[in-house]
Amino acid sequence: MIAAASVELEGGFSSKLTYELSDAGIPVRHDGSVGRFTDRCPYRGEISNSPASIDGVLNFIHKYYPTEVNDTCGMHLHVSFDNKLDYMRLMTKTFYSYFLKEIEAWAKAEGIPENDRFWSRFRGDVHYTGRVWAPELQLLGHDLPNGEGSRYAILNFCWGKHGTLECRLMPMFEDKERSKRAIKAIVDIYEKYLTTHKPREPNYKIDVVDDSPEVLTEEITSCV
Amino acid sequence: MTNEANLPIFVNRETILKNENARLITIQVKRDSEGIKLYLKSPVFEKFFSQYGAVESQIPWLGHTAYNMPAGLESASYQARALKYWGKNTLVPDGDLPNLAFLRMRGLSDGINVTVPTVMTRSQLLDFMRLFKDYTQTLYREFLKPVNQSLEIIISGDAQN
Repeated sequence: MIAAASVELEGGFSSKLTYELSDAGIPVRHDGSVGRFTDRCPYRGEISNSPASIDGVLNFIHKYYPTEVNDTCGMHLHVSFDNKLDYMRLMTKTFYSYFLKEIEAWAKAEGIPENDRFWSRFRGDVHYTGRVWAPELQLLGHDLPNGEGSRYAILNFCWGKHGTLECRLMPMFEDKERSKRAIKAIVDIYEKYLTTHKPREPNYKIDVVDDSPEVLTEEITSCV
Repeated sequence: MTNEANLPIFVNRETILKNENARLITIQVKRDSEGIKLYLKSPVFEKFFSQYGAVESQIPWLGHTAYNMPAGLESASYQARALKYWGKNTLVPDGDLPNLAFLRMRGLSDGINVTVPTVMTRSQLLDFMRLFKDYTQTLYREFLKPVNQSLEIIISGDAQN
């Protein structure tokens, strides 16, 4: 199902970690949304891994997690899929509701405190990750109905730009082990949905969708 | 179940002229692992092309794309706007008109299959079919509808499954 994944980690980076990243050919890119950190982090911005397996993403987090994080930092996960039908099956409100329900259950089971920034992001209170459902606009890179840029939603169907589904919900947790579990939770939800919502056998029905005096249009629909 | 989890992966739409009992167009859209698969069958386009000329080629030139436009298309801005998106992998660009890049293909009267490697939501899929139907009817009404005579172009037989 999931072909490859890449994570964007925002935060502050110590000189030592920045050198390690440089040796690995990983740049710390500027990100204007990332705030300031203590003096031990002269570099701030975001890093990301080249497309990899989920294990590869978890290893990247383990190895290069920022030295400091704060409430200006987000963790964004891009995934691509083996086939386009899987991607289309996630572009439904049914999946969106399922995703929110499952991720909320995960966060509660994880024991994330009520005052953690995860919950403000989950509620859509954070500008960069709104509770907006507009995949048709996102596919084409158009602004959202609330006037924000196309990516500023919990789920960003950026097919036209990256060919991926981006989840922007997660903050940068203080504990990198929690961040790894969060990535795993997102992936598990995608895969569980695709596994449990299998296409069903065709069930044809005929509807008259246009019955003007001159023409008759009939529509036969089969469903997954 | 009728919720959106059951998004259609296959839709067949047939538009029939009531008076003449003629099938103007059959559109079938299927979503699968390769993207969007279309089956189109219509007497309208081939008849239109035979009378007005078809779009034969696109010419990349200095970063722009020019088209060999038939006279019938040049006079119809409605269609020219659709051709603007020639070569794009979106079937309903910008929520506007259907992308008609594939209509230079011959054989619409017999039915053609086209695969577009893109993704669509349920509403985009249905919009595409509705727009395409509207487009076909417009072509028919504007250019092909016989005056005081019954329609000559009648397709018989069932559409491909």
